[in-house]
Amino acid sequence: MFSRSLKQGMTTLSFGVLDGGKRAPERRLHHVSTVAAPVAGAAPEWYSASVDLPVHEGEPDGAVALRVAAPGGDPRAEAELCRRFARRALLYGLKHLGSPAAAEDLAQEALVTVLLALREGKLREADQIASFVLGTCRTLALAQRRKSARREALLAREPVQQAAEQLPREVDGQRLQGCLEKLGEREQAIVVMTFQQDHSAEAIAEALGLSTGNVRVLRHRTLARLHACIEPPGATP
Amino acid sequence: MSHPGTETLAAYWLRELSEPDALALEEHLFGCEPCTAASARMAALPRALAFAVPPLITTAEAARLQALDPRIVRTRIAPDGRGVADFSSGVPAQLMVLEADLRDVERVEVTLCARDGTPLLPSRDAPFDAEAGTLTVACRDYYVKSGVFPLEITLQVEAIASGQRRPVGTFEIDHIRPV
Repeated sequence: MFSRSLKQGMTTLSFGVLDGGKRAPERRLHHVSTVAAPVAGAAPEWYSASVDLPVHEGEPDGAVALRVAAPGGDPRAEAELCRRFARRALLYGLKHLGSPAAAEDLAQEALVTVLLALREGKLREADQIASFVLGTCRTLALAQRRKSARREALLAREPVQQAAEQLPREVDGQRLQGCLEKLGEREQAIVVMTFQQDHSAEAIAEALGLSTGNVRVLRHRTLARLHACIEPPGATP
Repeated sequence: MSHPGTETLAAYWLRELSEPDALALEEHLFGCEPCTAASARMAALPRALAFAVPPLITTAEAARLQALDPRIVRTRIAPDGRGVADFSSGVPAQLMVLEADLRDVERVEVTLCARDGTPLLPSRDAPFDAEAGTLTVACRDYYVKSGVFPLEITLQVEAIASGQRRPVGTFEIDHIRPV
């Protein structure tokens, strides 16, 4: 097998090998459109040339998905799709599986499944890509499948790991300390009893002389206040 | 659905949102990057709050932090000794256990100082374990990163018993920054 890339500005020309007139699976990750030509001494293999187009951050998810699904694939679009959905899938896994390791496994498996499905033309409406990824996550979370050792898992692993490593950095600890000090005494008590002492809403309600519902509402509001306090400027959707 | 409010995100991560509302929210999150970013910050808040402890903590709090992150280690320091809090692995906290004779002690005062003795942060009623003869210091990564305190600090510890003040010892802690 042979592969080579030449880069010119935003355009990449790639050369790969086709096996028996069909694109070898691992090559599909590296090509967009194909111009196939016979290669002396390599029959039945073929060289192919392809052009990768740049992916813009503002490009809608559906448009990126379309490029992944296009004949020949699009490595940049695949990478962009993984980057965009890695965090969403990871958060879904965290919420529904609890364990960060299980969440990483789920996110990787979901991205691999979505990439393969796109390549195989299984997604009919590209603008439904978000729902499709979510549905995949749901299915995987229910099944709690273990990750496969397929090559595509490698492609999905890096963005998922990056998203997982980024998660603890979402909150600046020192800034959070300052935000905590701005809370009222009752809100501070609710924070400490909830997140540092693992007390239930019922126990907190009894300790503070509040109703359970009131504790939950105060807790939501307190988290929302802290969230707003630590939020970088302009981050609100 | 329109962009969710932060209280909705809080309820979602506290598992206090109804099932239909949670499903609708997830549909929205998977198609909205700014809301995903907001959700990621909210998801990270409970863990960050779990570690938002004061510099001096109880033995029970130390055990809780270790349970949250097994990479956190306890380093015991004898009076006039030195310990190293290593954050190079990205661990959020390290525990320094100061050994001291605290029998019959009513109150313990700890003053965090620069290595040259300049006082930086006093604690007039530090938590301590009289039976074990220990005080536990929770060194936090963000203090090290932010430079709020110098990397090399000294803790001066005094005990108050029967109205009498007596020095317990000085303890040095060196911090290694996160990579």
